Amino acid sequence: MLAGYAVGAVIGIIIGIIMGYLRIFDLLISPVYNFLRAIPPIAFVTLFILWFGIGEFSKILIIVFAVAMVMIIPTYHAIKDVPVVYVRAALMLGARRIHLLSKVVLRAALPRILEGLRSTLQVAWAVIIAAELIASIRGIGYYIIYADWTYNLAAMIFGILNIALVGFCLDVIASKIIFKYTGWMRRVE
Amino acid sequence: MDEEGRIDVSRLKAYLRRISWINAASFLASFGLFIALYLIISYIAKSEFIPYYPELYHWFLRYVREGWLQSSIIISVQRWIKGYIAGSIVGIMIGIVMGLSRKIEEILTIPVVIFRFTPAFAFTSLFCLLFGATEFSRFLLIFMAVTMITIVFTYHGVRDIPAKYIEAAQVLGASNLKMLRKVILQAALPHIFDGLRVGIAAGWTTIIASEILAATDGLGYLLITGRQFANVAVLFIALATIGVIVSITDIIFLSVRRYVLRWMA
Repeated sequence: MLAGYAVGAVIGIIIGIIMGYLRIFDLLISPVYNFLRAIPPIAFVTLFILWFGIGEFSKILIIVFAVAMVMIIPTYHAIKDVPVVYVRAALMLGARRIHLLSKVVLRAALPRILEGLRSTLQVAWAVIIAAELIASIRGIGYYIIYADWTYNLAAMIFGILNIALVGFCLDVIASKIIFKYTGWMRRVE
Repeated sequence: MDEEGRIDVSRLKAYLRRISWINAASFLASFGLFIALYLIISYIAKSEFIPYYPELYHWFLRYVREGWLQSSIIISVQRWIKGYIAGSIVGIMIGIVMGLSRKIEEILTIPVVIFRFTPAFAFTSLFCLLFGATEFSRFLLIFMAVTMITIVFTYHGVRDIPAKYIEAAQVLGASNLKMLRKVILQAALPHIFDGLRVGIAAGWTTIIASEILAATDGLGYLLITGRQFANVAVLFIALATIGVIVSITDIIFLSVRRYVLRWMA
C-alpha cells in the first residue's frame, strides 16, 4: 500500500503542479479531471480487476490511481493560492524561472500539499480495504469477508476496529511529520 | 474592485463574459481531446478490454432500451437522497451538541474517532449479518458515512465560533433559542456546508461500494454485472453514468450553498 501511495502521490503532485502553474494545461485537463474525480475510486476497482487481474499489481495500481486523483486537488489549489506578491518580489530580486518554481512557489505551497498528503493517506487506506473486500485473498478486507463467510461476528468487529486503529495511527504519524517540516510556519506566528 | 473598493459593474460583466467563454472553450477542448485520445487508443489496441465506440454505443442503447440504466439510476439516487438527508440532519444536530457541551464532547469523542477512521463500507458485511442484505442495512451504511463526516465538520465549526459573538449576543439579550438559531447556526454554517459537500462524495462512495458488495440493483450492481460478464463497455457506461450523476449533485449543492451563504460574498 505504501509503495502505491508514494508513486501515486508523486504523480498527483506533479500533475497538480503542472495544472496550477501552466494555464493551458489547467484549461485542457480540468473539465475531464473534475468529471473523473466525481466517480468514487472504489467504482474503478471493478475496472482495474478486469484490466489487470485480482493480484497485488492491480491493487497497487488502483491505489496509485486513487491517490494521484485526490492529490491533484490540494496541490493545484495550493499553487493557485500562492500570493502574487511573493512571485513579484522574487522576480524583482532577479529570480530565474526555475528558481521561481523551486524556491518560491513550491515553498509557499508546501504546507497545504503536506496537509493534502495527510488526508490522502485515509483515502488510500479506504481504497485498499475496498479492493480487498471486493476481490482478494489477503489483508484486513479479506479477513472481514472471511468472518462474513464463517458467520463470525467477533472476528468481523475485531477486523473493523483494526481498520480504525491503523487509520488513526497513520493520521497521527502523518500529523507529526507535517509538524516537523512546517514547524517554521508556526514559529513565525 | 478598484482602489476605493467600489465594484466597476461594466468591467465585472466583461470579465464574467470572458471567463464563461474561456470555460466553455476549455470544457469542449478538454472533453474533445479526451474522447479523441480514447478513440485513437481503442482503435489501435483492438482489444475487447478497451472497447471501440460502436460497441459502447450498442450496449448503451441496449441498456437504455431495456430500462436497466434508468432503473439503476433511480434506485441509487433514491438511496442516496434518503441516507444523505437523514444522515446530515442527525450529524448536524450531534455536531452542534458536541460543540456546545463539554460533557457530551468527552463522551462522544472516542466513538467518533473510531468511526471516522473506518471507511463506512467496511461495515457492509457486519450490517448484512445483523440486518440482512436489506434496504435498511444499506440505508444505515450511507446514514453512518454522512453522519460521521457532518459531525466532525459541524463540531469544529461550532467550537471555533469566536467567543465574542456569543458574548455580544448575550449582552444584547438573546434568548437561548435565538442564540442557537441566529448566532451559533449562522456562524457555523460555512463549516457545516464544507462537511455536507464532503458528505456528498462519502455518501456516493458508500452507496457504490455497498452495491458492489451486497445488492442486486443500483449503479454499483451495474458495475458488478459488467465485471462478471467481462464486458468493459458496460463498465464504462456505468462509470460515466456515476460521474455524470455525482457531478450533477455537486453542481446542485454548490448553487444551494451559494444561495444560502450569499451574505458571505
